[in-house]
Amino acid sequence: MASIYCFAYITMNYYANLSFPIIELSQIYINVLNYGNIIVICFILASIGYIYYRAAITAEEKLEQEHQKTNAALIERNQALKLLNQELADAADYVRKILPKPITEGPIRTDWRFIPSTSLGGDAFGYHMVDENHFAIYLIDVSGHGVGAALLSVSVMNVLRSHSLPDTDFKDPEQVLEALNLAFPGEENNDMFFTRLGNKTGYTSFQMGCMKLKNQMDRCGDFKNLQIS
Amino acid sequence: MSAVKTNDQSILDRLYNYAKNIGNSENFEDDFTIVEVAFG
Repeated sequence: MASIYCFAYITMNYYANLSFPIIELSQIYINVLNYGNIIVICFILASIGYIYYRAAITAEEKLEQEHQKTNAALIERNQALKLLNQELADAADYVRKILPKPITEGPIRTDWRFIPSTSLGGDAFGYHMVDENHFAIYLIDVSGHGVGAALLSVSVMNVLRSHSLPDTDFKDPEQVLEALNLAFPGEENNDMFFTRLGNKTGYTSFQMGCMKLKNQMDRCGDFKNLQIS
Repeated sequence: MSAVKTNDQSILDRLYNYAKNIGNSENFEDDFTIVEVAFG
């Protein structure tokens, strides 16, 4: 707008000079006109500057508000992440706590190393005496790792620890796998390994299976009797 | 199977270190679990 006004003023001034002395004006009137124009132009420029200034201030205030919102969201996200990490750590501690302790004395001794690739893994294992003659060892490897894998492996482990499979002889790994397939149907890519040992006879029954492949158990594993040397 | 050792020189630690050396990393891409059972 100021540019248009300046252009019109210069054009009129130029035209007035060309047409001089067609119109005779007093010098005072011309000075008033000139200074009046200068004042108007200055006012327009000042208005434009003020508008830009206010726009800049408003934009800066909005930017500051957005910055504060972003900071608040980041703080909230970090708190949620911290809480989630704490819960993951608690879950990892729980998984470690339900792992059996190494057995350092007696006819059967055990030791182990458990290193999950993330804070929670899909591996789990356990061993316990089923009765005075049978010692069960089981390794659970759920494909993948993280919360989902850990939840499934812990669920299976707790079922095995508590002998909570119905109508199942826990001395028979084949029955245990069958019962697990019924208890955890529809899971995919979750391999399980279960073994039992009759420690009086010196024989072990070895069973390996895949939860999702009940109908293809022959492909997943077989049943063997291995004599302990 | 020989008796289980629990010191730093146990076969489990050697196996664990060997696996780390193979992977050339302190972290495994998958879970790493070893269970040793000794009978008798």
